[in-house]
Amino acid sequence: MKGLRSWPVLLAVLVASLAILAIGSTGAMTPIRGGASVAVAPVQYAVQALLRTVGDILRAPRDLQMLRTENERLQQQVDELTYRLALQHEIEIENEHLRELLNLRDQTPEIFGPQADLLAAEVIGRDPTNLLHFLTIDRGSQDGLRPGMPVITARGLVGQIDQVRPTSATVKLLTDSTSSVSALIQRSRATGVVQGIQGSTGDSLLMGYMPQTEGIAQVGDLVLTSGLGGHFPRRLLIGQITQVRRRDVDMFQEAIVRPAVDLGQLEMVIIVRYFTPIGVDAPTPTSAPVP
Amino acid sequence: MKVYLSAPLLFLLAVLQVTLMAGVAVAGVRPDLVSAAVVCWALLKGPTEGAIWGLLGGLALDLLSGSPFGMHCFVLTLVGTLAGFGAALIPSEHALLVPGMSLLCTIVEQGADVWLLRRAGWPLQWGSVLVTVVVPVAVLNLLLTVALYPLMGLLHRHTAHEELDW
Repeated sequence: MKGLRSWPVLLAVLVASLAILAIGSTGAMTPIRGGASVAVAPVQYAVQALLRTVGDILRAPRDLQMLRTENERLQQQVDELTYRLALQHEIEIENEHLRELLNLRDQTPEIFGPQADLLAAEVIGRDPTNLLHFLTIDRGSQDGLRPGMPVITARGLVGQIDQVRPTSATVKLLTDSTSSVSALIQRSRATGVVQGIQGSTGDSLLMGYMPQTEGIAQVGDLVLTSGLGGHFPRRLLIGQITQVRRRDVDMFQEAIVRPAVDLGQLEMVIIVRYFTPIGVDAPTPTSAPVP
Repeated sequence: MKVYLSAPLLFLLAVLQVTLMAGVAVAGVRPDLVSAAVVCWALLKGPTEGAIWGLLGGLALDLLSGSPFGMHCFVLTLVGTLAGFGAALIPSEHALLVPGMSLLCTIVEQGADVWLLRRAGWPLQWGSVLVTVVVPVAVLNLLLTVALYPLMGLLHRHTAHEELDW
């Protein structure tokens, strides 16, 4: 049979893959994954930056197609301008992100408490499988990140830090099926739990465990973090209700929530390294939320 | 192909999978570049090289993923082996070899992923995952594999004299 002359090698490879899976399930591979990420993260960062630049440069000439055909003599100048335009566009986007971060910092005493500590990070990758909803960011334990720290943008909640490596970390998005956040509906103040929807492609969330009282959840209502449990700051925007499911036979009613943040288009995020959990008046450095 | 050439190639494909492929999502799902490469190589070279490519590609994905370590490694090794045996049993000139094996391998891969993730505590439901992930990914992977197969054929011809060894 083709390629099966070396069947002992095939057997060894199959056994090796099974052994790696078994060892991985014990957590013994975590240091290796962490160590490897030190080398991998810069490569990821470089490839991502290259792809963004190439994408921008490819898009920009298309917009200038008419001008190019009208004046061939200016071709070289147009190319140069296009390149500069792409760079400028990148700078504008970065400025916008930084401006949003500044606005967010102004709000920190109200939302995060007086000693809030925020850190910006760049998205350098997404989980390879469609079954999990994770991001990889360019900050890690060297930047003081720990599992469970909330991750946000100026538009609202993104998720929380899951695995931390020296120079990178994975962020579990709100839409992952293992994610859950204590939430409240802004208008009615009804509380519930917002979770990722199993098998979803990441464009909606499920808010459950709400009492059956009629009218507490309506289409268009805004959903915020409640702060209960101390894992997330309160009053962070999660999303907007797009559908309410209420059946008399159920103990609770449910609502479908569209995330406020477009989780598929994230380029920069903000990690809340420290915030004052709800009901804590005098925060201390050791009172940071621990998952 | 020597392993010191295969490993960087598969690592590069894994990096492209988590960066470039994130931008080509259709209906919320992305094609699986590494899986497609493993299936193509296994169809060209047989189960042993398919399994080795699966092992190396899976390791690269495990380093870049938030999933339980070893999941991609194990599943892609199985996929490489399966595709290799498929190629050994079906005549290589059969028109349905590449699309058929791509569909079968994607379904096996996604099924094994779901099974392992459920064992690791992810509350995934077979029914909803089948509709929202497995079927769309199978279609996208089929298109990607059909496009990638001729390129892998070129690589195969360039390295035909080499048996993959360590």
